[in-house]
Amino acid sequence: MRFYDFPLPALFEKSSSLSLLFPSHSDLPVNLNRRWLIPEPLIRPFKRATGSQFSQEPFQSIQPPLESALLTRLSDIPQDQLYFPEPSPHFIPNETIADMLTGRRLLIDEVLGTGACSLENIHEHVSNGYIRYEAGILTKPRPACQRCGNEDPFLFGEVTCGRCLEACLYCRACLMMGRVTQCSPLLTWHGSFSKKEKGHRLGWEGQLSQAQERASRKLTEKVKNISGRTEFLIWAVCGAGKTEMLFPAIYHALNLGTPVLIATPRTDVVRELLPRLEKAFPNSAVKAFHGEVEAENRYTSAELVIATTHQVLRFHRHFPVVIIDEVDAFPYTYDEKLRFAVKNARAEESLTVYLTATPPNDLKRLAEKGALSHVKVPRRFHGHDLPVPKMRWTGNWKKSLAKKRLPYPVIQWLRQHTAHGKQIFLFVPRIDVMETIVQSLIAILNETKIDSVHSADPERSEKVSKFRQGAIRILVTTTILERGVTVKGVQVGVLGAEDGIFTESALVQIAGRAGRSPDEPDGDVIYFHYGKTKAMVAAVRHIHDMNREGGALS
Amino acid sequence: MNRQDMREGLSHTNRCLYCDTPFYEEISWRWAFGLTDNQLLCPPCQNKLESITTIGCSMCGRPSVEKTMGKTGGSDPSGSDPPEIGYVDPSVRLPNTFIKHPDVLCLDCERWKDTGIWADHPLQHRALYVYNAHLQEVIARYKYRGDAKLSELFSGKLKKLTRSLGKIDTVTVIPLQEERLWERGFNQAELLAERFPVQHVLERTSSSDKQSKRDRSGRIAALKGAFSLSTAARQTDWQDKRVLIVDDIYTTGATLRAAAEVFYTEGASHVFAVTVARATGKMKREP
Repeated sequence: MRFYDFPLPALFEKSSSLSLLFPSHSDLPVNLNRRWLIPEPLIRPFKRATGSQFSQEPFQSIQPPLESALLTRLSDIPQDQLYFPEPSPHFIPNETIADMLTGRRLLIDEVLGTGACSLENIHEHVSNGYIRYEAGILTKPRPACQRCGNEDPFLFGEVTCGRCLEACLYCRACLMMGRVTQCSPLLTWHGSFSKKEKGHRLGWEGQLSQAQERASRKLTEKVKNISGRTEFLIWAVCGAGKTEMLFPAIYHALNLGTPVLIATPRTDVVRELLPRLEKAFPNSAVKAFHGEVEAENRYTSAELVIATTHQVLRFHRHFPVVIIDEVDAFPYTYDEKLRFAVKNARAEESLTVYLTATPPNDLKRLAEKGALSHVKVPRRFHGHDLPVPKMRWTGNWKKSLAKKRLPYPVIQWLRQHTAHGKQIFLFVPRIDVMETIVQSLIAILNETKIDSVHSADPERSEKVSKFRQGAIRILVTTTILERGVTVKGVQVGVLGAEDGIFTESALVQIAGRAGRSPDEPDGDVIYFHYGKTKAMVAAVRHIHDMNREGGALS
Repeated sequence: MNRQDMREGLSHTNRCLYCDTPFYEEISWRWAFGLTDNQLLCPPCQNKLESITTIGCSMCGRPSVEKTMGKTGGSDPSGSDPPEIGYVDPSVRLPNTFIKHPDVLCLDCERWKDTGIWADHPLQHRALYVYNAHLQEVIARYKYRGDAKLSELFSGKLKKLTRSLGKIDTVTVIPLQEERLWERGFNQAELLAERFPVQHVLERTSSSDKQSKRDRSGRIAALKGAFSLSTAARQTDWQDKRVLIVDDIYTTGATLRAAAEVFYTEGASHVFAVTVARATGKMKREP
């Protein structure tokens, strides 16, 4: 989309119909020396545009100031030369638009696409200072997507655009959320944000363990005193009851009238968290955002937001409290994207909380140096030790697999547990070996309730729930199930634990699947390997250390 | 250094245009002499595309029954595979090229012969791939999500597909409605035809909804007189001209025939069409 670009103050007669498209404040500074933009379609609509998205009454004749006005794109103008007025107290903003845009930065197509308003409505809010146009892609010094932060030249495309009629860049990295192009504006909201301070209720009545309590109190303290941009690390073992620890602090934040964001890497986790948080905060607006949320619920306003990385990109300078769940679980390449997303979503004064069982090295180092305030929760909520992984040598398991056989120690271990009716997670390093493993297991163990699951498996969630119900006894999986899935009394094996994909944190997380339930706090964790790796040794040490610290605590 | 590493060292790294994973392109003599196209897709993504190598209908280019290329990776197990038998003779296996006398017809093309001008006007069509579930995703991302760069996957191959055509006077594309063009930002057919000297000679006369939401009879009815020649093109002499139309998907052929009819009424001798995807049998409805 192009804009008519006017130097301000513009010279036109106040009575002309065009005046509606200019800032409503009568007292524009005389020496403003800024530029004012009006979307092209508002002045020159399409021949056959059948209304809907665009202005119903086009401006019939091109009037004086327009003759000399240039048509430009947002990305071609230095952004600091643009003029946007302060919100006018005399203008009553549209509530639907306000709800949609408060705290967010959305592509103009997303806003128009909801059908809630026309381009004319949007521009009216711009004239009155409630909305601002921002460039979707800036080209200098190099192309950068303003929504997702992408700067990788391979992830930009260029096309002769039907909107700006020029070569126009678009971002391929966040394409799935609507196409950000060089000529399409992002919209931000600049009206006041109405705080709902009262009426929140904590509907959770459980009891925190001693270790949880300590961490929770520290976190609440942090929430009470937010100044500047602060960060806080909660290092809690798998099964420590992380979510419950957050409740008092979230409750406190909501009562202060500040919205809270929980960012998490996977849609599965968002889905799992939503009902728990809804139950814990029955009087608050709790909303989940992930890729599969229907269009009509994608932009609802909320006080407590649970979102995947991509959805976090839609928020803008809004949250005083941001909690990043499983910060290390974000795939490496997403790391920068998440950082970008969180940086944009948090408010000027904000607290960012990292919540994890296996902090990435940089955070760990900062915490140990004392540069990052943190708290450890080394004990599971049921008070038992973490099961310590054992290592077992299997020889060249890939070679055995080529002959459709599995190493003897693996078979023996599986037999022993299936005989006692235990369910088993068997982690493997690669997708391509899964099918052979499943087939060999079915043949060798004479057991049919064996299946496999991986990230691209369309039946992933069905298989996981079948495993939960016990209809699958042995589930062969990639690292996709290393976290988030809790099944009572499960035994855990890792085949090919020497593979590079099994990092220390992956192995700790995998070990954390066992012994989650207070009824069955024990469980086997075996790393079957063809040569010990540093990661395996470090994972075992990590778990030992946590158990020792936890033991000292109680 | 084992053999795997050696091979990887000798090949150069690409990134898949569709899934963005890095992959290694094998170095061969053909590559060294610049005889092969640059590989744009990683092997898994490439293998999910089913090239049409033999066709069962010399008119609409419907792929032969059973085997398209034996690659089944992308086909939808839940029944997007064609109920082809009954439409074409299973024994017919013609090469996927244009021919002089298209007289081996599928049931669909026989049916067309009873309607309007189609009894004595041929519309030969050839497509690159079977429109399987994977290609449906690729095209959806290209067309609806607007990933224009994906046209590179097909534009060169479409050009190659027309080698068997002989002389062509005009190459054109199916035009997009103005509102739709605003929505998508580009005409998907125009980009696919970027290797051809495209002339914009067609116009839409009526605003029709998306074709992908209609069934066969609905499609045909909605397209009656949907296209006309642009003012400039009306000045041209179309007598005995050979025209090629480029589009993205061939489903029932209704769109292409509606466009072809414009040229035939002006006296064109042959109208041909090439597309990326040939839909066969039932597909999921598009979003």
